Amino acid sequence: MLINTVLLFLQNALPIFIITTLLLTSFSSKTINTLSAKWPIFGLMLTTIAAFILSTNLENISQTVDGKGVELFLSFAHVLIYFFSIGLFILNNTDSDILLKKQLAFIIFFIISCVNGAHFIIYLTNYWAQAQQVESMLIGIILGGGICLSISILFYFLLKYADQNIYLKTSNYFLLFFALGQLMHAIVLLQQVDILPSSQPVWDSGVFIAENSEIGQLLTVLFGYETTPSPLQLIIYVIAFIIPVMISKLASIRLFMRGEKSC
Amino acid sequence: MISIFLVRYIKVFCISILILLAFYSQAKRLEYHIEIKNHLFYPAKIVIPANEKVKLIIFNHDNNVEEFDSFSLNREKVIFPHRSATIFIGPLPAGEYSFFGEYHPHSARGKVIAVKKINIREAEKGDENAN
Repeated sequence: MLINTVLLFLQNALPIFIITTLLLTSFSSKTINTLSAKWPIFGLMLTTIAAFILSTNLENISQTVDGKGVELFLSFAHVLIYFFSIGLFILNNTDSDILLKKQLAFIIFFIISCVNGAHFIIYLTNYWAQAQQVESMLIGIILGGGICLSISILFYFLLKYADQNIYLKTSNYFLLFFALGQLMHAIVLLQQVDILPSSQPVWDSGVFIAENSEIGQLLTVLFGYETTPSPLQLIIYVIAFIIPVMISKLASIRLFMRGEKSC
Repeated sequence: MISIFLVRYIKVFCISILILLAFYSQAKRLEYHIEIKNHLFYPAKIVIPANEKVKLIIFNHDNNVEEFDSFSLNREKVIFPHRSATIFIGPLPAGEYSFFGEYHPHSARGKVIAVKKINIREAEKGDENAN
């Protein structure tokens, strides 16, 4: 039970910790410092309540649309995360629209936390009643939380270093890859209920990096890593990467042209 | 200008999804039933035809939630107590694909064996008493 709780906590909480890190790096330290403390607390409370409400209603959702309700609901949520994240990815190229960026960041955090939080709450509420398991579960949550926190702190400083010393937009591209991972998740869910066609996988990289390993889980959260991707997933991954990058480059071309004209 | 392109991209994406849904028609698939009792899968081995998409209907008889999970099948589905859930798997190349109950990974374990149609009866005979 202990190991299982740690693994489940990692699986559900790691995306929340990673996106929080990515969103924090999206804003300058000056912007974060000016943020009133009451808003993050209010946001966190709202997210927790929403996750509880979702966890209690997930069973009813699962029985809708011929048993496909959960997949449709979750895939819609993941697609929304993708679009809000690419919105932030594009806006991060400019210093304006701080308020809009903050709103987008909150919506992304809210959806991810609700979806992943609800999943973990279902597990907790079902097994909490088993008296002898409570201690193991608590230790599991503390251990899982510690691991997630360590990874996200390390990741935060790595991103800061990369932004300052390697490439200015490293963290922004990591946000895009995270969004692509969410989109891949939506595709798998739709394939699972036969809404999107699925075919034989293009490759099986499970021999090199298993999806259930620690590195595999981290890569899944960071880049949407799949050991057995279908051709449809690969095509959508490439298109969904290229289009936002092209849109963001349009902004720099426009700025460049303006600069040329003003000269 | 950026927002125009972004809105256009979202529009194209939504239209593509709608087109996909419009052409979406669910073909009749082979059905396989799995039951969860006392955190065990019954049957623990399912033989399916290779290169064919099939439908798995999983019924959870337990009082606890279980999650059907498989990395090799790329599937993950929460099954609530005394409820059934449906997932589609394949088309799969011939081979063995393990699955497990994420909330009871030590006891709830099983395998999907994809075999070529000629060998399917022999494989089924061999796995009749899998549990």
